[in-house]
Amino acid sequence: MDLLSGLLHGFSVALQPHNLFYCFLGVLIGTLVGVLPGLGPAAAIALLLPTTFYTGPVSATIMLAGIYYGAMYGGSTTSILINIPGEAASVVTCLDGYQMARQGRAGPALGMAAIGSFLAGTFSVVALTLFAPFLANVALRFGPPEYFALMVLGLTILAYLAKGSMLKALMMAALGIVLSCVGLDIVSGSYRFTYGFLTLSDGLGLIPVVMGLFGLGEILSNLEVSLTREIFATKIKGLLPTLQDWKVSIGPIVRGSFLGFFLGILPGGGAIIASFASYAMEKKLSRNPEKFGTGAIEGVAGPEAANNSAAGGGFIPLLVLGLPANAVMALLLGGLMIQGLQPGPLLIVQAPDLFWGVITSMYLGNIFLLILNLPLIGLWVRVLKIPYSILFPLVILFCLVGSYSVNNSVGDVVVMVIFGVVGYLMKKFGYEGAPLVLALVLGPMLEESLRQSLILSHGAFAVFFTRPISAGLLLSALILLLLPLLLRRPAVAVEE
Amino acid sequence: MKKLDRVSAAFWLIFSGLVAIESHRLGVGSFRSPGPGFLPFFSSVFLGLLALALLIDSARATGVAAMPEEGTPSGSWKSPARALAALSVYVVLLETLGFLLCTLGLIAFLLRVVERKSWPVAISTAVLAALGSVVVFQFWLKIQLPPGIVPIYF
Repeated sequence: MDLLSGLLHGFSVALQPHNLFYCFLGVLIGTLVGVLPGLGPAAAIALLLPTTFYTGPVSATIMLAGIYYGAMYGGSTTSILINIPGEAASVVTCLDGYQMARQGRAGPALGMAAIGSFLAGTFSVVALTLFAPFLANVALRFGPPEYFALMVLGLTILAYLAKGSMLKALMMAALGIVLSCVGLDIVSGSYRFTYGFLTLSDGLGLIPVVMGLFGLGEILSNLEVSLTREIFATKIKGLLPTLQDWKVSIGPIVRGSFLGFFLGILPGGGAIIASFASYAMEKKLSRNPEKFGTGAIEGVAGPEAANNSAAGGGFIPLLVLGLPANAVMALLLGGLMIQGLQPGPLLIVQAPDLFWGVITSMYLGNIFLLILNLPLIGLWVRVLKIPYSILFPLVILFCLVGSYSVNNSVGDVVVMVIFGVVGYLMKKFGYEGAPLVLALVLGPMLEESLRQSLILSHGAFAVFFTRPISAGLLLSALILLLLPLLLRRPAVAVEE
Repeated sequence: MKKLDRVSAAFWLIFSGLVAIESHRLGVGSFRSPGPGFLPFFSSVFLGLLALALLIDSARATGVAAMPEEGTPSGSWKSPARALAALSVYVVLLETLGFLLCTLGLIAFLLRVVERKSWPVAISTAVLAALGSVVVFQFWLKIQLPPGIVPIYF
């Protein structure tokens, strides 16, 4: 199917009334999730994964995808108005967005965030449309050693770009691989680490683990401190930026779009990294870097464009290679596998409805988001006023029901609660959940690729280094592992 | 933070050792024919080596200032502990008493005891949340919730 006929087919799928409804529902929920602090897109997607049992795979994926890029839009609202990021990719927007609000320019900040996000989101979908079929052809040359090497690189990149310690992120990745081995080994037929528990015979369920780590764990952590928020008390007027605002912002939006898209493609990259990288780049390129942090609109436009563009770019490794680029994509992969689909280079041929339907729905989703975000800002401000003390029991309830509904089993709820404790302790001790979740999802594929590679090569590990693509990927991973050691400055001793 | 790193590193070192022993029992196999314990064994060894590196790193550093993004600021652990206790009781009683009663009790407890809301607010919110969730999850999404002693007919 060529590009044009693929797009036309995609629009014929995406414009069906029920798919339009799910697209709208997804971006609405995503915006809401982005607006509400304490509930990120990963937790929201995990909470809604069980609903995919009842919708078809196309509608389900359209909705879940909408939640992801919708959350990127919504997160900027709280960053600008209350200096608390709605989700992690909007942390950087707090730096200048909130300062603009304090100067009475909340309207242009919100407007630029929404319009910049729309332009970047549209760019990334166009790029996705052009790149994805081309990359699918390249991916057909991938064999088990290449897949293994790419997964190792993905986990390494995620650990390298972790905001905390790379060592701890790698530990979580290793732990994730260990946890992915729980359950029945399909090759030998033996049970691993189940100890007679029926719940564990199918392995640790992705939904209970993610709900525990990102949902319950986050809530337990937030319960330690009382979350108070002061919404910036100002009448928000004049949402459209001025000509001068456009003059200084168009460059950051264009650069952010490109940067975000390519960082989104990289396994281990994503919206969070893209927003930070864009901010750093704009500050470096600016003639007035001292203005950053005091209300520079470029500090809002660039990162917001980058995080939305990265959200689109992240779909490429998922749809084309069947490899999730980050934890949220890992959940989407889980959702597709629940539907009996296997993302990969053959998806475009085996499930063109899904492939083209999801891509074209993103064009429509970006339009819905522009409509939702600009006129409905007043509504989102009212939503922000819902006390967290009322919100968190409801989120716990969703986690409980969501975990139970997977297999109608209390065992999954127990798993969710245990991982809630794990997530809480991980936050206390400074460990990140994303590498663990990505490794948990990639673990079975990693093991399969590893075993197949070793069987093909009669046990010779050299197979990973004699094939050029695999060797290149593993060498890149090795460089990333060694880079912190090579660039390490002597630690400055300070009284603790 | 360095003290916390030492504690966690020691934990992961012990954990990885136990996993390695269990993986060996499952059968590591050979490179030509990997067994069921192959990947968990090498992953746990890798985890153990990283934990050792963290232990050495934290023991060696003479008080490097903690990065603010590592570890959350500590508040009162009592609220999370109470919430966890309530969840544990919820899980134990869920299939016996059923979803409706357990959810009612859990939400009321969380709002009254953990968040110190007034009784009318706690009870009314709990009733609304429990009934609303039955409507959404059982009737709309067709999720089979445990009926317990209060059967939910649909």
